[in-house]
Amino acid sequence: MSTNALEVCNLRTRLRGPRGDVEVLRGIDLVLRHGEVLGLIGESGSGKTMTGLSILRLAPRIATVSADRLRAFGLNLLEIGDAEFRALRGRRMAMVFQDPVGAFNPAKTVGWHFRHALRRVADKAPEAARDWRQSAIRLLGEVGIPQGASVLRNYAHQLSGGMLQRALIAIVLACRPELIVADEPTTNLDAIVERQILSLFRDLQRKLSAAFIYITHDIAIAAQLCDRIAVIYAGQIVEEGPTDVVFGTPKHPYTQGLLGAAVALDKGDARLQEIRGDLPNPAEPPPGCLFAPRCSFARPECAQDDPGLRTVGDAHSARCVLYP
Amino acid sequence: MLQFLRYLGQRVGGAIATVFAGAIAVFLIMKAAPGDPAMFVLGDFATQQSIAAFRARHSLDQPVLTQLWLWLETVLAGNLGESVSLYAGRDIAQLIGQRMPSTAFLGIYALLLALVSSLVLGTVAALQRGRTADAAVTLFAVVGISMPDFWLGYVLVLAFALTLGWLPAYGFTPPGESLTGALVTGLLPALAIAAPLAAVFSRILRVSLLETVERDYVTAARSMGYNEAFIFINYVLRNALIPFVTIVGLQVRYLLGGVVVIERIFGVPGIGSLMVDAAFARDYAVVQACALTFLVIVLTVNLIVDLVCVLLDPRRSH
Ligand SMILES: Nc1ncnc2c1ncn2[C@@H]1O[C@H](COP(=O)(O)OP(=O)(O)OP(=O)(O)O)[C@@H](O)[C@H]1O
Ligand SMILES: [Mg+2]
Repeated sequence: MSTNALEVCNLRTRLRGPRGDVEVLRGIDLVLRHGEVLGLIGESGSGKTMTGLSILRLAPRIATVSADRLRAFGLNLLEIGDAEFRALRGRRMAMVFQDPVGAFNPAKTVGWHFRHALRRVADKAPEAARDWRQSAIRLLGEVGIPQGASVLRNYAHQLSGGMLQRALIAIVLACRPELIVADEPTTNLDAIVERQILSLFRDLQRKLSAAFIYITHDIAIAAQLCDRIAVIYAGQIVEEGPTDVVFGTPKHPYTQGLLGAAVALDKGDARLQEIRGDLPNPAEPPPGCLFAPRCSFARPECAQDDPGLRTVGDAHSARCVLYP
Repeated sequence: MLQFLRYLGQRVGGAIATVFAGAIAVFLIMKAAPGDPAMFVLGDFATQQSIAAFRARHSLDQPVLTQLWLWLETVLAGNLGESVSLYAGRDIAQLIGQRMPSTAFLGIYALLLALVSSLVLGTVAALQRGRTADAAVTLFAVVGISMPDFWLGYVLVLAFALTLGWLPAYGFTPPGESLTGALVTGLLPALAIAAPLAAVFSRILRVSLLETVERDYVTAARSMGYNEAFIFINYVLRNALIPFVTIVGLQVRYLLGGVVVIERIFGVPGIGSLMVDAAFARDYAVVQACALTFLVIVLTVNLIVDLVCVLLDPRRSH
């Protein structure tokens, strides 16, 4: 296949607020090939969720999204009307959310969600929509829930987070999308369930050969699951490349700090290099490189201009003046 | 199911206890108020003897606690007693039974008008948030909330009855006689009761809808590509109705307050006007019976609202 599953260039999202607009995405660039898993990693508040929502045109009312380029499956998403875009969601693209309990309609049973999801893709799988209960039970079996019939009768508040996340994955599986954004789908789950869900995602990806954006702040998970890594900082991609390269030889000081912090957590040794300070206030970003105020390698010119993404190796780029 | 029955039993038990406590409170308040039914019945020039005889006949000369006990005895025996002064000698249960249909009709009529208009107005305001329609609904709500219902009653009479002549200004055809008659003659009083309620309800629904729109499950539904109407009905409205119904249930007591006043203004022969007339006549037993009836209505409505909430909200029924 020649076209990429997703191409994003200079994606910017502003949020209207009581004290004026705030730019939370400041030019995101991403390319996702078919069947590829891209890990989007960064600290809390860096704009990971907003990136996923903005791409799927699901950003909140207060958001204004713009981009130089936004293409998926060969379609120019910037030119598509809302109704046409809606027709893509739940069919060609889907999203898995961080809080599985919150993703279900609390007034409806899990079965209700399956019935409507299957009806929506009835043209792809007419027999599945006709006997939705049977298909739902089979799909639940595929994600490791043998007692599907009783789960279908339950409401979200009656089930565990792990069970619901599986059910949600089964629903996404039923839709057979080509592009999936998974937003920290295991953050709220305990370690054992997390491992099961991760292996489910690997299965899902193999079965659908879908392109994935896997959002996480857990570097170990990203290393296991992803083909490539994009590191996001304050609404910008600061480093991007193949997983082993980015994690083996990180170039951007922020990525180095992030990995250092991950190592520190693993070894219980907080003295290893970690990142001082906090994310810049999105309402008053510093001039030049956004990471400069926290960077131990910062030079005077860092406060002048945004360095832009630079090629630092094979398919590997970083947004830093250290690399010419 | 067993759980549900236990819950229902608890609620009914609680309601009965409330009615009992309410009956005692009503009795004591009535006794604390000045005035004497003997004066109403016998007139200002009655002799001491005839007054004493009247009071003895109706046990008004007994200590208050004895009177309370006597009254409770009759009520517990399933009897509301007899009218002393207003309709001297008439059975009170019969009086209330006669007037109940008019009051129930007016109350339900007003509630339906309020519910339907608030569903429309609240939804429009929420969907058009920040635009002209939203501002118009807000204006209506502010006016509706701050306007006393009796005043609105007079304005409606002035406009639709006296100026335009479309509807009668006074008098009410009970629904038992003619349903269309009741719908026509009841429209102005029902509107007067419904308008302030609709104002409150539509505000509540608007807030509830706007809160629900922000929920994660709405974003999740949009990520599935469902159409906006489907999402609005099944996700937004469906979940916003739960707090809405709860608050509507709490407002029903104000509905009854409105009924009492409006029945008098429009000459509706209901329990509200019976209660006001009986209070002027110091007909304690009648006032108490009316108050008890209202209490039972409020508790029944609350019970129904609770059950509706349980049906709407699976988190509560499990
Ligand atoms: N609905 C909203 N209203 C206002 N600000 C928002 C809203 N959603 C996100 N933001 C802001 O946008 C920025 C990016 O948020 P986002 O949720 O994308 O971060 P994240 O990287 O997903 O963080 P986390 O790891 O905590 O999920 C943050 O500064 C956040 O405060
Ligand atoms: Mg997030």
